[in-house]
Amino acid sequence: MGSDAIVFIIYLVALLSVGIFFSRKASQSVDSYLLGDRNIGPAVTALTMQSTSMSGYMFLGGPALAFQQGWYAIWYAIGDAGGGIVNLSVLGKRMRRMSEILGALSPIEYLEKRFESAAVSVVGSIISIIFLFAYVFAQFIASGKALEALTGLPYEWALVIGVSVIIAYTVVGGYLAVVWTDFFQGIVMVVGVLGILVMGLIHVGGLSGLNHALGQIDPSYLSIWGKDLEFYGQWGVIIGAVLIYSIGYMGLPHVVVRHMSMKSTKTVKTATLWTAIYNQLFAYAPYLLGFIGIILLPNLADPEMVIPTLAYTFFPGIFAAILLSAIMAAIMSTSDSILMQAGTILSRDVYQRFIDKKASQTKMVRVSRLSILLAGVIGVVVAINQPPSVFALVVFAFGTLGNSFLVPYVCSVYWKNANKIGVLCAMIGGGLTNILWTSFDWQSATAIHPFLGGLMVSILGMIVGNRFGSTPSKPIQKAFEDAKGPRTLPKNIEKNIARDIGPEARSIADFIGNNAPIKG
Amino acid sequence: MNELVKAEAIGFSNQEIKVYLERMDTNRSFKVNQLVFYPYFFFEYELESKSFFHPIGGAVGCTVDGVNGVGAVIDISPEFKEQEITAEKLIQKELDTMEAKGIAEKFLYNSISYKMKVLSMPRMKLIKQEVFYRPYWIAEGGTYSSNQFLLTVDAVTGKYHPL
Repeated sequence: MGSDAIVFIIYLVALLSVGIFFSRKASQSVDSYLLGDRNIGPAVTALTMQSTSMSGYMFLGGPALAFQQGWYAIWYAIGDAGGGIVNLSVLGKRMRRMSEILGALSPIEYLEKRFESAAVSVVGSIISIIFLFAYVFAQFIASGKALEALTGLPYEWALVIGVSVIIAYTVVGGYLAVVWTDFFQGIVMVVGVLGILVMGLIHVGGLSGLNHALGQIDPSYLSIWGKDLEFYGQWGVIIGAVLIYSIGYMGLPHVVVRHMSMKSTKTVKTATLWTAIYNQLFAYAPYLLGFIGIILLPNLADPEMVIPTLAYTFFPGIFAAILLSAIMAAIMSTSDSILMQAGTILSRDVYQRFIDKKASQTKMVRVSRLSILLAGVIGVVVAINQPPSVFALVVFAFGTLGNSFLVPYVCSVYWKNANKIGVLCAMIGGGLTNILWTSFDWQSATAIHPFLGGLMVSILGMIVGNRFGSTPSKPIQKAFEDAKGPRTLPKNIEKNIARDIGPEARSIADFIGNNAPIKG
Repeated sequence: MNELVKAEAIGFSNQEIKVYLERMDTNRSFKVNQLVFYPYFFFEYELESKSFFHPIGGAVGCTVDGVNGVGAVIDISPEFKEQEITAEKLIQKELDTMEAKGIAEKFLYNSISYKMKVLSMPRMKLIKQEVFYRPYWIAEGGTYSSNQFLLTVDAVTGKYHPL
């Protein structure tokens, strides 16, 4: 066993120790365990969000695209760098207010209450589960590849070990452990990737040297249209590439839930600032490393191995091991949250609703955990037999989730008369279009990115389907008006509003006969 | 007509709330006179788990909003005493105890399964259940009719929300 593998194991043990430390500490009291997040500040909130969002894709899939297509890949980075800000500014405030008024705790429950339909919840749950698991499969594959590079083990063994580590981490980590390890991992990720970027840029003579060398190899690498001008004039592909990560986050249940659960306006504002800074520092670096790979690693067989290979090329083994540990950290911090959420949705919204209506909570938790295990086994089998690329799988899963939920979430707060038939058409139409567009490669025939195709069909489904549904009930219309804002409250009063007593405030307003609540 | 109910003690008087709000917005005066009592169910469960990583034990409390059915985990058991409260101050609950108990258990299981990330759920045994009322102040802010607004202020914690 090399010294780098030993470093990795030490890193992993340290991470697990943090998990066990917080887990056992918090376990001394149930209350502190379940309420432990009450004191989490904006910086930790922002970093846990970002390290959960920025998965193994950023270390493997993104650089691979840049390695294959050159500067065209930067469209995806632009979307990623701005996605968090767009998400918060377009959806954030209104959706937080609406979810507060409706008393919804999860994104699927929010849709069910806003559109007054159990069918919306069921369809939403099924789509979420399938594609959240697909997203996790991509993380499994990424962990196998990262560990293969680090340990030299065969891919199959590396994959099994990587998945076992993820499951062990998921079991050991409690909420506090997850938050604090995420914070730590977020720092390691950005420091690691910027460190290797600086080293890489020094080797290629800075950005000018990088572009000069790329132009020498193939001038089309410098084009925004892709290598060999593959997407020349195809604005449908370019727009889709930017949109997928700039607005796609608004359709991801596990991202949207973070905005819904934020504590106060103060936290949101500062967390947004942290998120924006973190994204600008982090989002472009993996793609730039992909470009550097074109110059320094011309014979690389697997493009997804750009960063691991560069790490070993430029850094001594021990530093490379730390960087690769950061890749595993990115993978783990994303996987555990998604796995838990998908399992919980499956047991609550599918198993209990359809299969066993009287299932006890204990049985539901068992179903949820068994589903996670089953997904893990299926993921390993698929990844060993025919591993798809991390890039393709993440873009596919991300795109389908975005196409299914983006239009419903946006319409829920911007279109008063949006109803359940419209939303069902938008969810099914958008999701299905993305699947078909990707599977049959309609991008080549139409010059339109699958995400843009799905988005257009989803919007169309919403508009046409809405004509066949009934107008939302009076309380929902009132909730919509109340969620519009801006509040007419003084600034200092506005800042400290306690969202958790929103339902009580609504009932008290009814009780005292004040039926014209202040908008906000 | 008066009703005998269990209610939490007022932690912040109307004067304290008035001073607090006026300190936050020095350009405005506040009137804090009206008090209403809001219904909650309280359930306390004993938890047991033998897991090595989560050797959880002890009790966990959950309140359920008696009108909207929203659950919340609470860190301190509420203390209440019997009080006579006039009907015009008392908001009537819309859930019965069985409905509320179902909501509390579902909420606790979901909180535990999502946040604690355990492989098996701890056993939960109900050890206490109560219906209680929490006092809320109604605060009127502003001096001119065009910029007046209403807030409800939790008289126990001091948290507020616009009406």
